[in-house]
Amino acid sequence: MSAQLKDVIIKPDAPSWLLLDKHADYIAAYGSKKDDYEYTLSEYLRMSGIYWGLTVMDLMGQLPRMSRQEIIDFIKACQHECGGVSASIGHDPHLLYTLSAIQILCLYDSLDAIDVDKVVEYVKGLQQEDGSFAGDKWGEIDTRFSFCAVATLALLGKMDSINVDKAVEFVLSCMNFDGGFGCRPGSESHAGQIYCCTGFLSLTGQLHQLNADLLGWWLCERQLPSGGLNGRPEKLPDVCYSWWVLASLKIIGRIHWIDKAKLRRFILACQDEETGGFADRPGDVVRRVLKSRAQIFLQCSECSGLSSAGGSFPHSVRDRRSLSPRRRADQGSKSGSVHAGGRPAEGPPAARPPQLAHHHPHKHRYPHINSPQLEAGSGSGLISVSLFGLNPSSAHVSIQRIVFQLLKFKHNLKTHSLHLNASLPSAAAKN
Amino acid sequence: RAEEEAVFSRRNAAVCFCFRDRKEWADLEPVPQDDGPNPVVKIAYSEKFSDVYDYFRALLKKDERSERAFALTAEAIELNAANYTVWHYRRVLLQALSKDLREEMRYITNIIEEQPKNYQVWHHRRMVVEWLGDPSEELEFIAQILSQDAKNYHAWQHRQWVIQEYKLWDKELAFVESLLEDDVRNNSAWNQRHFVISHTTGFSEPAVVERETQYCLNQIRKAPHNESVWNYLKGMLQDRGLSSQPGLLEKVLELKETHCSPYLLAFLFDCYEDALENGVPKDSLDQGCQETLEKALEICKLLAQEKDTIRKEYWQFLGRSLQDRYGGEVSPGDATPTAPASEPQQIS
Repeated sequence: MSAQLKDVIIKPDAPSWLLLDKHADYIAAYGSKKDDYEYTLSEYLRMSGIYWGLTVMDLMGQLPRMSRQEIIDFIKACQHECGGVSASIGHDPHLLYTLSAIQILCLYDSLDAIDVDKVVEYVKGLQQEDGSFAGDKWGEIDTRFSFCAVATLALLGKMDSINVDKAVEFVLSCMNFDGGFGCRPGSESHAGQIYCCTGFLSLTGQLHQLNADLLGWWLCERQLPSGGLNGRPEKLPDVCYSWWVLASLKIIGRIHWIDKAKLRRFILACQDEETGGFADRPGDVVRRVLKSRAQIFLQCSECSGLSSAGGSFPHSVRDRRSLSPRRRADQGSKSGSVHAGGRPAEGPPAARPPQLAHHHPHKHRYPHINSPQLEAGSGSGLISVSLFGLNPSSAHVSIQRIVFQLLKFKHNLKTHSLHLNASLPSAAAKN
Repeated sequence: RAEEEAVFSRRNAAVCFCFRDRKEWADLEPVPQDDGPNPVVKIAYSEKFSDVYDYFRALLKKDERSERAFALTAEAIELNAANYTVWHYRRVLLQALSKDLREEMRYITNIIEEQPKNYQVWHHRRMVVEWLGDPSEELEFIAQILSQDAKNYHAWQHRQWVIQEYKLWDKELAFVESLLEDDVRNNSAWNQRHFVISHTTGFSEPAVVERETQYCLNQIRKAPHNESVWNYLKGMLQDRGLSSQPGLLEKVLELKETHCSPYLLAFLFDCYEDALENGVPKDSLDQGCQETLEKALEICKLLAQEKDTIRKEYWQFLGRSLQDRYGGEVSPGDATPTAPASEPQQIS
């Protein structure tokens, strides 16, 4: 029986540096019908699209060029009576877009623009008896929504408004025999869900409940010979899964278990030299189903090592929202509590392992090594979460177009191609 | 892509039988897209799309509960099945108008067949099944969708929900086995196997564990390079300890000669590690602790340097950790210096 693995081959002539000017061209050609069509179709996640766009701009030090007041007004118009926020005007509220809205307002330091107490009420109202969260009043349960809930509340400093113990209990009940997580108990382990769950556990100070070695192993197993990462075993690599996997590894402090050079090569090979843009894997065409440009830039900066823990994170947001995971990590506190919001003394109650209703199946392999590393990892986890809070609904939607519509960077950025090892535009490096 | 363009063109064909031209819709004032006081971006929608959605917004604004509204939701869905607000409204109408839910099942069946990788369509189907209280079509329908893509994550979610909610466990293990016959590397099927067994017999009965172990070993012989089967085997055994399963180590060592893979080696390492951890008596290992440690370290080295170099950081970490923990009496040999599990502080 052959040892055939699902993977791609990277051709020797695949692009090997970041073709920034080509990507600019791709964006510049947005007058065509098909791009409008894509944009139109993605209206149902407009709020997230705006957030990703702003993230990219912020990474590149271009945030001041965005229309701050207009965006804030847009968000105001999207908050409903129940407190939840919708993706766009006239759409129904949903946790996904509530998180995006809060993230945007944090970037702009304008949380007072909407009724945050109502937001808290909305989030709280979506928690179920078993600790899980529905996405909206229609009741779809998914660990993505657990993540959205705590990320929102962490940024607002209101984690204590929900039953955190129960929320943790539910997420842990989604831990599988392979150390990974799915969307509900029993669901197959999936890189996107794992990201949400590790982000969740980071925010609730419960990373010690993970078996970081087991999960880290599952995650680094996503890397295929081509260097790309898949989202679960025996699937093709896809540039978007690179993000979910890398971010998760970062949170648990195991990111060095991925071969960065090979991953970088894969991502660069995904570029389309003719039209610009990124395909999901080398050799595919740049399709409607694309990933967040923010994700890709972040992957690139991760790969180039430009971001150490927090390197590409806006310090302004971190400081404003009193997210101080690094300080907590240095204290070497065993509880691993890295709650956001408020100074340590008046923060939410320190996390203690909840009384689990079920037996936690995985013992730690090396507990004396796990705890301190998880502390360090949880710091970058919080950072990852609050900066990116990547809404998993994005995974299959093209918003690349949206992002670059917001960018006027072809006039201001250097238009020559940049090698990844050189800095991104210096303004971004300062972040 | 060409297909999508064709669809797009068709939808925007010269003859647009638009709502704004239909006299039975004349009473409604269409509501144009509002992107906020000063739109962040200027948008040019297709004519048909604008027309349908302008009227959709008009209906929403009125909260109109009518047949024509219901019909329009289908058009809106056809243009954009990911728009969750349209689905919400359709459900409100389904209830308000007491629509035939069997017909709705046919409708959602068609939509899912066209767009099987969309959260909203599956959630909608679940709601309809719940309202009907009738799961009788589900397993067959899902099997059909899985026959087109055996790893469709949404389909598997729905399947797990149906089985658990309506207690349809009976034939599921057989279903899983048939999928594994088709593709022994289908990770979703292996996950489902674990799901079924853990909710029925459980994994504590020795007979079950023995049967499953045998099943795994057979699948390994057929296709040694299979991440899922090794994950499953390890996942099943790790709580009670890998070295507790009688005869397993010997079988793995046999397979190492003929059906080796990085996964086998990793599993072997886990067996040795477990033996060290649980102080398994010498005679069942046929070697002392020192020898076990050496063999385990050899495996790490083999994987890091030759068999799985892309993960050499991980293998070196495992080797160091094991060395730290058990390596007191063993000479370092060519062990690398101890370093923490977490990433290096400097930027690479």
